Amino acid sequence: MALVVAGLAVGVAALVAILTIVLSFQKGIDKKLDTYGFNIVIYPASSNLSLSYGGMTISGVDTYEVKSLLMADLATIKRSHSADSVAALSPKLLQVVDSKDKKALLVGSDFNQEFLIKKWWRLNGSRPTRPDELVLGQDAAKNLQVKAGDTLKLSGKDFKVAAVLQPTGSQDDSLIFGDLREVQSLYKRGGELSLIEISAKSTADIDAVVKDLKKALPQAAVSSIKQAVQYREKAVGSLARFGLAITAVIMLISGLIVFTTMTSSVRDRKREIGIFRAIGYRQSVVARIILTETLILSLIGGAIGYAAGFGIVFMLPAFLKKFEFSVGLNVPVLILSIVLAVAVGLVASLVPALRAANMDPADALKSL
Amino acid sequence: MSLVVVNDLSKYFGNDGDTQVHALEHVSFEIANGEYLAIMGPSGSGKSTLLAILGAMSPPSSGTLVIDQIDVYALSQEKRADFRREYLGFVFQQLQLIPYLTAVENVMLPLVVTNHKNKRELAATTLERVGLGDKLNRLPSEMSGGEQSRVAIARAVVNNPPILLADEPVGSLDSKTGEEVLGLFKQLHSEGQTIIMVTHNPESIRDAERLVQLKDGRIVADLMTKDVIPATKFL
Repeated sequence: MALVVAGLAVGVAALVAILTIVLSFQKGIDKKLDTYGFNIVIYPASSNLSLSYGGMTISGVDTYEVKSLLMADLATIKRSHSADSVAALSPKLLQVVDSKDKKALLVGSDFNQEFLIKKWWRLNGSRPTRPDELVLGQDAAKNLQVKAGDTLKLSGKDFKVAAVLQPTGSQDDSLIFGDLREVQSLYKRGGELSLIEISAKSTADIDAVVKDLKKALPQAAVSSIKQAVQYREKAVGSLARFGLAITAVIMLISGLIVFTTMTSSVRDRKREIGIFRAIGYRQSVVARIILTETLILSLIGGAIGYAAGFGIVFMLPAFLKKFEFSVGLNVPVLILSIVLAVAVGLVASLVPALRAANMDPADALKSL
Repeated sequence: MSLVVVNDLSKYFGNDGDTQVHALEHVSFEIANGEYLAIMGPSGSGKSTLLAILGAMSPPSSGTLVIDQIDVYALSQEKRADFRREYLGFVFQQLQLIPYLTAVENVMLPLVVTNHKNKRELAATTLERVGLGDKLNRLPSEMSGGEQSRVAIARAVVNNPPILLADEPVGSLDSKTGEEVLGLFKQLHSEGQTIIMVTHNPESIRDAERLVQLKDGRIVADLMTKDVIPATKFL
């Protein structure tokens, strides 16, 4: 009987471990989606260059030869049907700059909108209040060897480093953020924009907003961050399918263990079952006794498997831990574990239970 | 009217031909309500086969068994299980107590599938009737052979069945314990219980009223024991 519990526990443990990992990856993706802050990006429709920004590959952001978006496009967006669905609108101009003989990417942006979108930004220093103030990503500051309060010369002009970002884990760490109009005028790119980030009020609105903006800005490409995330989801989906296939095989083996154990148990208890039948237990009652026994063992197996599954996740190599596994009582997974253990247990012991029920009492009790 | 009517029962094992074993052949007899009947015969005489048929557990090859005007083998398997529960109490040769259940739980077994209220109380009362009121919670392994026999008898009668079937009830007991068990059967019979006992031990039929003797699957004698008790010593 311990074999029944162990067999089911192993199967359920595998399922719980795999589910926990997959759900954690999924959660990680959702979190990533949230931390992008924006969920729609508009950029020029064609270009020879491509740029990876915010985890997406954006073609058409030509940082040297701008034929790109214009400030006027902002007004177009604000007039569009989707204006009400927009929570924040952050125009950006990207410019490669040289400073201290090092190349860096300067992002001209509207700080008010930027801070609105990137609520998770934590500053070492203060928020820029003047056009000649900058915010540097952690890596950019390290690379250029500056800290909050220092001065940084860009294209011959002195800028004050108002703040350095605390590590964000995103591309922002390697960027220099400056005032949009200041960057536009310094690099003689007045009115130009490289891209516009939009934060929709609700993720449910994204598709509608994208569709509408594509119509409003035919010269631009409008892309939803969802597309980038879909790739990750696809990868997690493959992992989930692979994991579930393994779990299915393990559960099949668990089922076979239950089947053989219950079959041998029924054989060993031939006399006992014979007594039950002789004293007037119906076949259905005998089958129910065997199935109830399996049910109890399956419940125990499922519960142990659930706990063991989390144990496995805890023991995973440290590099996987960065996904912040949501280890704890997960009711749907618990219910699934128990239901699966019970289902496999009951299906596997159906044949032994029927054998027991059909046992001839006279044959079972050799003495009669 | 007879409680049990055995009419022309035959039971064959195996296929037709030379390999077929004729365990019972054209056996007929009747048992009155409250009668204490012993079925005797040497090994292979067909007495265990007859008891299995009387116990509604093994359909005959031909013939009928009518108990309380019910044609037992015309019933479906499930109905026959209900019939066994309602009409029959079994005392098996090896007692067949469930080793992991206490005395009272063993006695409760036939009640589990009934609508009886206070199942435990009824089982306890029955155990008191057989003199084990102080050993309700003992496991079979913690009891003597005689006590285990009493538990087996209590389990057989807890449902108050019209017929008590016993298969060599003292076969594996020492003479003193055997006496006790036979005394218990006598007591139950005096309370109106119909008893059918299969044995090959002449000593066991002492209290029976009637003796049916089998040989080679046929009845060779159907006697009142008061007439034949002295003679049985030579069986």
